[in-house]
Amino acid sequence: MADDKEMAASVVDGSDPTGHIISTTIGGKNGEPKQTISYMAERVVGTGSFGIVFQAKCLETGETVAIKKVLQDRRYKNRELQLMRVMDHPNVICLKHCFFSTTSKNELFLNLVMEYVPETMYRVLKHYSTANQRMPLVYVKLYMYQIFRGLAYIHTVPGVCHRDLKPQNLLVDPLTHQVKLCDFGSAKMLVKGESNIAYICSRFYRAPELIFGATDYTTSIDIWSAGCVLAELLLGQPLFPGENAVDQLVEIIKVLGTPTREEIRCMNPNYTDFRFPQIKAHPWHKVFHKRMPPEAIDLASRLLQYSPSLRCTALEACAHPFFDELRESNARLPNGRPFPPLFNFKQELSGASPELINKLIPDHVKRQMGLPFLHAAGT
Amino acid sequence: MGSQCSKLIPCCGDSQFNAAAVLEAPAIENVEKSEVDYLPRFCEFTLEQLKNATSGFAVEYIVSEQGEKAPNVVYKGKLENQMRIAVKRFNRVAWPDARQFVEEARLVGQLRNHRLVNLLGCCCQGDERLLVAEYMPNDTLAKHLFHWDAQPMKWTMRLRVVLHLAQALEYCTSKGRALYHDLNAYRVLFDENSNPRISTFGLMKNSRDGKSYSTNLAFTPPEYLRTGRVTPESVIYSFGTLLLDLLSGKHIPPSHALDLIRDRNLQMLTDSCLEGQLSQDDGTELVRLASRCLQSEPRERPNPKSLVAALTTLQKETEIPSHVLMGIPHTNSCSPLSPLGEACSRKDLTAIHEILENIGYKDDGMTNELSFQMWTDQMQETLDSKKNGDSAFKQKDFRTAIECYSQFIDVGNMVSPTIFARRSLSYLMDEMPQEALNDAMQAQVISPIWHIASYLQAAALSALGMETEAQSALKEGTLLEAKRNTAGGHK
Repeated sequence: MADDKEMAASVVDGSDPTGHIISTTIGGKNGEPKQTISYMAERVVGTGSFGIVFQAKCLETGETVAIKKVLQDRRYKNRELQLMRVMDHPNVICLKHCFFSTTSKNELFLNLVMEYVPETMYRVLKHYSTANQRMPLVYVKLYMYQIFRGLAYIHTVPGVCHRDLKPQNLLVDPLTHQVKLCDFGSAKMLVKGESNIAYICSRFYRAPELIFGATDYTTSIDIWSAGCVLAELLLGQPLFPGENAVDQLVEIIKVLGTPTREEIRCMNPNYTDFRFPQIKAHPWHKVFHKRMPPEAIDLASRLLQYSPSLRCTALEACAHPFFDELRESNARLPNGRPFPPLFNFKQELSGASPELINKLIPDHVKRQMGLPFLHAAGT
Repeated sequence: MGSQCSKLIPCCGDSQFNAAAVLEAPAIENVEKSEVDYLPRFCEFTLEQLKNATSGFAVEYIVSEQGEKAPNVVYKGKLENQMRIAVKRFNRVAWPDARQFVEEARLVGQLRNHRLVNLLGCCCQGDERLLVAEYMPNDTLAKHLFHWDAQPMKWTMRLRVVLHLAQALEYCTSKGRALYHDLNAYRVLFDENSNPRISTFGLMKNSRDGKSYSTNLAFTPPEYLRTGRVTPESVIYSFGTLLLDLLSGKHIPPSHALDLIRDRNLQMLTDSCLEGQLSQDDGTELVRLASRCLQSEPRERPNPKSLVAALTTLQKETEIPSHVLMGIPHTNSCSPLSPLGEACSRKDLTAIHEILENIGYKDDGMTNELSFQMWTDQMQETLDSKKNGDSAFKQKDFRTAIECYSQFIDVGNMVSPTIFARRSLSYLMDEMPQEALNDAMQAQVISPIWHIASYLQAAALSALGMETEAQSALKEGTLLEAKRNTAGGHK
């Protein structure tokens, strides 16, 4: 967690940080000793309209970090920083520290110092597709489960919608196979009754209500994106590769069929008079290969629903039978090592029904935790 | 093959073809009436017959979803005896064994029921595998439920639809054809009285690709995913998904719907269009039935008989005909006719003549092309015969018009639907209705969606004393003309 407002401006730096050393001081409040931290910028790992992300090494501790450097408008607080300060979950990138820096042109930059995770889901996918292979199913389950766990946390605890979920924003530790959501640059706490901009989220992963220009959307847009990621992990390529905003809808219709009147009303009631080409849903056995487990298709169908309110929640997704393999007591990584932590739930379970909680925590874990066994009625 | 077909033609050519009389019965008929007797027996058609019926499988005649890109395309068409048909054309690999195809079709073709889109015949020539069924003019359930234009389907009608489907399944089961492949909202069609019927195409198994379900596998019976086989119980599962469709107006994966039902979250499940129409009890009962159909254990699902019993008790307003509930104008209650339609229905040949004269060759799009074809002598001759024909037609000298237009047609280096239309009218004037009908059909072959061709057929049929067929042609002309006007006015 970043320390309070104590953010000293560091050395003046240029646009390419590689090789620069950035120093900043932390502490000095409430009688704490002031402490200098220096980062050696090593390489740029990402750029975007927001600014850049670079890998850096802390000279004092030797720890590798990722620093996201964004231009700071002096009039506003940085939303990403506000959100990241309150988040704390094994499947969400952790903010270690932050500081401001200035340039010779007197531009103010915010530097978000985060834990460094070497791979992204995007690169992992690329690795498999270059080798002309499919991702083994156990990894699809492991990665998707952790994505949903991260989403369950951000959706329920701080009430944040990520709004740009995609393989590039999912970090993967290649050794532990732990997955973390990152890049909260588009994220927002959604408040019921308040409108939000529709122009968010990267094209292939945009929920259809966003394409319809809905402004009263919910966190279920992240669930749609996660559904697209699930399909992509299973297929090895994006499920809806739209060439532009309108084509994106066509790609969706090609797979799911034309949304029904009622589904259009659920997405955006202003569009009910719109006429769409009537296309029957594409046979899913042509979308997914033959040996696809039915549970995978069932989960994908529940995520990729036109009606936002019918998409399952992230926590319900975690409890889906597709992930049962992960809950078996002897389940391990293919190399025999244990899975990263999957069942250390905290506040995200507070609103869940006893049945759901019972499904989410496997018996062997309950035994370890000394939890009472709950017998689901009937089912 | 062709010899059997010839039996069909006299059989439906004469007055036996009185479908309306049977279908006029109130919405809920009793069992005795369910075996239809107005239809010809199953027969084999020649490819030639079906080509003629569909204007050579014209793209304009495709009625199935996704147009020509679909693996199996359905065309609408009209047999020589004026009976309207639907023709399913399989792709080449679907039925490698011709004998198996004909046998299978023949068995399905023995079924006759007013809840079915009855199979009239098949054709199996060379690579072609075609099925011929009754034509259903009023769209699919998917259209009325999911993509409606004027009004959402009323709850009363939805209840009627599921009862009729259950009755259809009960009939098929009683005849030993319980295996229905890929039962879904696209397989349900509405007849001229806006009553729902199940397509018999779904009773034909597709021998080669073995895929019994065309949609998302999350909607298929769980045992199908395990074994890849369809059982009578699988059909009941699909019926359960149809119940969900009718209740929700959306595509909800059944496993998800069951979760919602278990959590008593009916609100989320129910189509918002049904607000105020659906009583708590009705909703609960339908949901209870759906959950029983969607049991993962096939043996626990109800059979069609008990479905019929359960759904019969839910029916409402049974005295109101389906077309009223659906808001679809009935076949016999004529929609307002255009001047030309009006003239045809009054058999006012003079008025038709005047209208044709006014239209000229606008619909041919050939005037522009003429200028550079003028160079050859033969072309000049053709143009002269047209010109002479036109002036004779204008002066109502129909004999000369027929003569000149025939010259034009016989040379054959230009094709004009208008010429056929004009000669057709000339024949009518000259009291040669059979020739007039042939020309009107020819005009339609050249220009499949030309309303004038249908109108002239109506006039000719009426002159031949085939009133029912004339009415249907008139209706078709009206529809085509309306479509054409909404598509951007006259050219």
